[in-house]
Amino acid sequence: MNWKLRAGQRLRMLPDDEETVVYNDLSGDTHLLSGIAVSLLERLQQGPANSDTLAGFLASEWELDAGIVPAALTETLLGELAALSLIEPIPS
Amino acid sequence: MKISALPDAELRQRLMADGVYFRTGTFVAHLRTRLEQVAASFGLLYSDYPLLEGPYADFHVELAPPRGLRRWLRPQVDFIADGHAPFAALPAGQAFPMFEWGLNWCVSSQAQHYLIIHAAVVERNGHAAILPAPPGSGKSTLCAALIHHGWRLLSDELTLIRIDDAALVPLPRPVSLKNASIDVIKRYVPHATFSPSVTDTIKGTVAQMKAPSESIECADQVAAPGWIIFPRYEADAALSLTPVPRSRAFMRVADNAFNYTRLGAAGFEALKGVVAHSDCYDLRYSVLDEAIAAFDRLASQAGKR
Repeated sequence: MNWKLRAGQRLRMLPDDEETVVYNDLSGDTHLLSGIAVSLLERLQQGPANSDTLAGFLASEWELDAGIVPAALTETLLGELAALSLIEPIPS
Repeated sequence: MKISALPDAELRQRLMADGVYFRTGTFVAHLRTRLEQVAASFGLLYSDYPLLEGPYADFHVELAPPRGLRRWLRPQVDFIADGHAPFAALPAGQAFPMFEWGLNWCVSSQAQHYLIIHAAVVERNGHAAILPAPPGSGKSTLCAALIHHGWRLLSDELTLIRIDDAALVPLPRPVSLKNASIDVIKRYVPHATFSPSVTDTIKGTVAQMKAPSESIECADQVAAPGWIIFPRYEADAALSLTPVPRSRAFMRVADNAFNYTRLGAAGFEALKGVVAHSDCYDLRYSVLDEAIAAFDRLASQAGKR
């Protein structure tokens, strides 16, 4: 599945060491997100990508604990970000 | 010209007739009242505020007995802002605290060009310490002690953040003290001026402490953000100052804001401007001297950051 930032989402952020405050321009909500979730957002800010590409990105950028499957983690994070209306799937 | 320039009799006469216009921070307020208790405490605590000529004011307020039979059954007082009474009447003896609470309400409900946080804010060496805290945390007690030990009062209750540049805008008004903290501060700052204590309010016994005249004189000087400190008084607790991640501090301050959601992205950017330039801490204290020393250490290190 391909993903992109929601149209109109500017990703106003206050980065910190382990967590980042993200303001959602579309909902008006403020979220406290983990660094790994924010790295996905920033990757999608550069342009749309599919799940496999994003899983590869996480695997290369983060030292994931043994036993964590990048694809499964990516799907979980993408689902959470989509639920917050920060990203959306691109219809195929 | 300050309010203290008016002889007592003239102040009372003006309050009863056309009212008194005065500056508090960036706002002009207009007070009219025939109530002696309000006039006496106003004359005591607002003597150093600039006296202005009308008729312009941001807030036109009046303290007066309610109309109708209630005034004869049990003396009560209404807070009237721009001709309307937004709150239920209170017992007449609570008129001056009601004036203070009502003026806070005027600012927090109308000054939407600021991000407004429920927090005390004090300044030293150009940097401000914001103290967001729920009731009972010792915020006002700490604020009252700090402003008589080298720190400037910007506000005891409402932190005003300028949207454009995240500067902290002064609103120096009397410090509202409650219950045991009244005697604590009377002992700690014996030279300060206090309004008479009023018992049996919704907040218990309350009294207001006059803002230092230096803070009132500097009410046009904004401060840069320096620290966000979440104070918590705990009896017999050892002093502790624990760093709080900025992201967590942001969320906690936003929870204490009156209009963060209403301001939308502008509110986020203003608060981001404050938090990004602040060191954030949880402060636990039981001894005022120790707490003030901790604040002074932070201020002395400000130039080294």
